[in-house]
Amino acid sequence: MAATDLSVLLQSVGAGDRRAFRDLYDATSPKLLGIAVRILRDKALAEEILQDVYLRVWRNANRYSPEAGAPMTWLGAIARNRAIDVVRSRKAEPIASAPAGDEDGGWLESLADPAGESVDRVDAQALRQCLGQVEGELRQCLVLAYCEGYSREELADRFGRNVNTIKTWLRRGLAALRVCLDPPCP
Amino acid sequence: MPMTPEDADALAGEYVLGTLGADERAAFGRALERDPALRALVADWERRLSPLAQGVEPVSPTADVWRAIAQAIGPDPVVQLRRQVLRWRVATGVAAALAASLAIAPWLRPAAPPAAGRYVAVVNRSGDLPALIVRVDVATGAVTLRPVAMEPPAGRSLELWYIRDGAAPRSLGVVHDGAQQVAAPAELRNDARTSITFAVSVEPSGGSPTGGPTGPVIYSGKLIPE
Repeated sequence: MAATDLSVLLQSVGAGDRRAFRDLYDATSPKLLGIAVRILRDKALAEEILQDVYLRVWRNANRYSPEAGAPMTWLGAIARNRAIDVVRSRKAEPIASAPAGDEDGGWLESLADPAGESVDRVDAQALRQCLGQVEGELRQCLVLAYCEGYSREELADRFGRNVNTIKTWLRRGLAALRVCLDPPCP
Repeated sequence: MPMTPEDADALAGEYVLGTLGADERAAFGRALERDPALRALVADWERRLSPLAQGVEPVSPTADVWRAIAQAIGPDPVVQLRRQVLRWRVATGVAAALAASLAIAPWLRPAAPPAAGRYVAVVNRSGDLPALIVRVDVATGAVTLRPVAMEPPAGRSLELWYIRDGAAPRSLGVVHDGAQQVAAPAELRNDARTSITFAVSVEPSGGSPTGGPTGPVIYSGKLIPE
């Protein structure tokens, strides 16, 4: 569904329109559940989180403004935040397995061909290009953290480094990404 | 300890990545609530990284998820009204006029428990959407009219009547757009428990010149306990 349609739906939901809420749920819940499942690695738990996510959407949709960002960015942030809250507050569990595919788990490739129109293609390509310029292991840390909910400790295990090194990597990676995506004014 | 702009942006970035530890994350979350500048940094990171999240494989939720959400946000006023009307029908034996498919504006939230001495009539065309809701509070003598989908023909007025079984219709006045209150005539207060029908007729502009309905009755409904 196009971003403008979702934006209209969100505004109706903000006004208490239940039918619009159902339409919004139908249009966006598979993606939000997908996000939560990748981070939580547990579909039943992710579905519980999804309920909470949509209750927040129902209550807070009136705070959404199109100027602040794309609807899917707003919705995705709510889903990711709730999933991360849960995954960070529970006891560390061993990572089940490394993601299949290449070292970035295929995430970078997903940017090459974003599904649907919900994401700005230009943003996706800019992120792909800028991520591509970040050093290999730093980039993998960013992607695994953001997409799969890896903690610093889990990343430290995976890359055989200590947690402080990982923290430094993450911050260097973020700084590089920021300079590339939003170059500072001269 | 004051944060440098670099620290703040790094924390905002790690908050969005999700790599802050539980305590650090909670503390940052509290700071976010107080600090709009931090919220702007976070929003920037959400925007920058969001395309990655959209690459995720969709997973269809089971139907239970929506059921739980729908239950948590409370019953839909339309569905609730439908149920209430069903109860009225069962309780009062009111005819099929009330079985009509009801779609109703959200202001009508029949959440309050039925009070003694309160009556309601859903005035409609048979099988149509409700045109007018009439509420009668016998205790206060107030009659409240809520037009929902009244359509007066051009240059005409719609006039509301109440009719006791076997008696001549009595006018409750012309129905305007928007909610209005009219005083209940004494007989209506006393008669509310007996069979009362409300009807809306098309009249010359300003209302019936004769004191009785002169035009066609286009809507009607029975008064029943609320």
